[in-house]
Amino acid sequence: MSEDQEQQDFLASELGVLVQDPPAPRGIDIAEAIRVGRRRRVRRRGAAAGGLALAITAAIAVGAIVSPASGADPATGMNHVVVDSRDPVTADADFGWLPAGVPWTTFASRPKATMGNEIIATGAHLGDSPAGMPTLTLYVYPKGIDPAKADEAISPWWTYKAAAPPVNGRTAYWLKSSNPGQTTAVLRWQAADGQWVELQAGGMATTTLTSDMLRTAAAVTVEEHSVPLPFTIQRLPGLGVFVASTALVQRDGRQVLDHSSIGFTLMDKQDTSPAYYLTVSPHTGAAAQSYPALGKEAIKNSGGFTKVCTTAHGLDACIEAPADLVSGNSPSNLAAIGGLKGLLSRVTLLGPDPRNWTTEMLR
Amino acid sequence: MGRRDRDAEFGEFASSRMSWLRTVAYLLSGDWHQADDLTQTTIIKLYGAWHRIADMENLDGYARTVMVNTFLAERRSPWRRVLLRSAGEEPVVQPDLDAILDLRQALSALPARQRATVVLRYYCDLSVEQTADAMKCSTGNVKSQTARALDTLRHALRSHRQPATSREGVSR
Repeated sequence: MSEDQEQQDFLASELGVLVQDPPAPRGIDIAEAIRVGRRRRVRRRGAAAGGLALAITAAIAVGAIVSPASGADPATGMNHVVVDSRDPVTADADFGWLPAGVPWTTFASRPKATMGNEIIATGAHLGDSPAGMPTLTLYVYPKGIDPAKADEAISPWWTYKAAAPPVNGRTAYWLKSSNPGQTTAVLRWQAADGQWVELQAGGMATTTLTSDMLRTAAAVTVEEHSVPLPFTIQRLPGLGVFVASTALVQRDGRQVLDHSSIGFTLMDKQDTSPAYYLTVSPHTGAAAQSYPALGKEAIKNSGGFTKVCTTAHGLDACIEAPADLVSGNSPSNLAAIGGLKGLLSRVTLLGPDPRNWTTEMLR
Repeated sequence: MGRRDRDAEFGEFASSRMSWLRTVAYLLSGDWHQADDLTQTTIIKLYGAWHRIADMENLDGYARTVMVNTFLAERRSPWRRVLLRSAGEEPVVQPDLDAILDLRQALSALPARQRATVVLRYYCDLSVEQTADAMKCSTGNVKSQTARALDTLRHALRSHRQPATSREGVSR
């Protein structure tokens, strides 16, 4: 038997041994998966219906058929970009109060083909996401959508509505599962304009769960708004944003930047996933530790990726891309602006003070 | 089929595959907590597509593909990248003395795509073509990722199994 074959046989048998005697699952809840999956479908259908209504209105107005959902990004002309590249992070609501133990709040980009967006408060950095981490997820249903009707019509798993005290004087209820393994608590209430709002909690202290959720709900503000970012980036040919997020963390009674990220492409209009990630974080953060040379400009290759970082106005900015994209297969528009360093030089950092941030990322 | 029936059917499918999905998720992520998160995310995605895929012949293959691509996407997300950065640039290797855990250590040092290739080829017993299909890449890419992964594992397992004295070498 060849050494290769021997190693492959060893791998096949030992991988099986590795997964013997697994611990009991934590955080796997099929009923919850069905509920969340259904909500996502509501978002997509709501957006499709909204898109159709807009298309009909536009067609009547100009005598032409348009398809807003599949149109190019007005900021960049990109066909397949799913996020508004000019103003990539938006939210339908915000937390006004959070219990101790969930200091991180993350806002994310909203894909154009969907409606609504989750705002997530967590007990640790969201990327860490250990099972059982305290998490509060806030979601505003599109106007005209009553989630209770969908629950009753669809699922045998979620059938119980339990009375809850009114939230700011308006109807509220707890959503209960027939599944004895229910791992999350869900509170729904109606906002002032009639939209349904949902707060889901997992991994929270059970003794204060009810009061914490009610207090959190009462302090939620429902208002669609753009989330300011701590940087701008120059318009570049082919630049299109696929994902974006901003995470804030509560420190000394103030919300300060944890990080802000965008995943984007410079390739061409047919790209369907990001090739580059730009991450901006406070200069005292982990990037500074990884890059002691920050202050001049640092570049590093690791794990098949090339990363270039810089710092200004108390913030670090790093752009990362697959190494082969930066060297051998560099797209012409990246080469034309001086590679990753040239790309990074087109990023302007606005400092840590949110008053200086902007909702117009492309300049 | 009514939606209640469809949900019940999905619940039955997800329950019956949960243990297997967790196992694959663990081999991909190297951590049972992350495996549970990955499994839950995969089940949510499968539910979202259930109306399209319920009658599919190879449902397990579809589920596996969803999981692998979710795993790879997470490893490329801004949140994950920030996490990786804050954890240091090098892969985190758990200190373990037990011999069987050598393999876990060696696996944990592999980049995500190589790790996925190893799991699909040698645990799920997929062919090169099936692996390429699941990872949405070329067969050539699967072959090169596999070769690199095997090289890395071979090197890692050998160095783990060397007596401590010979690993330390000789000072000159």
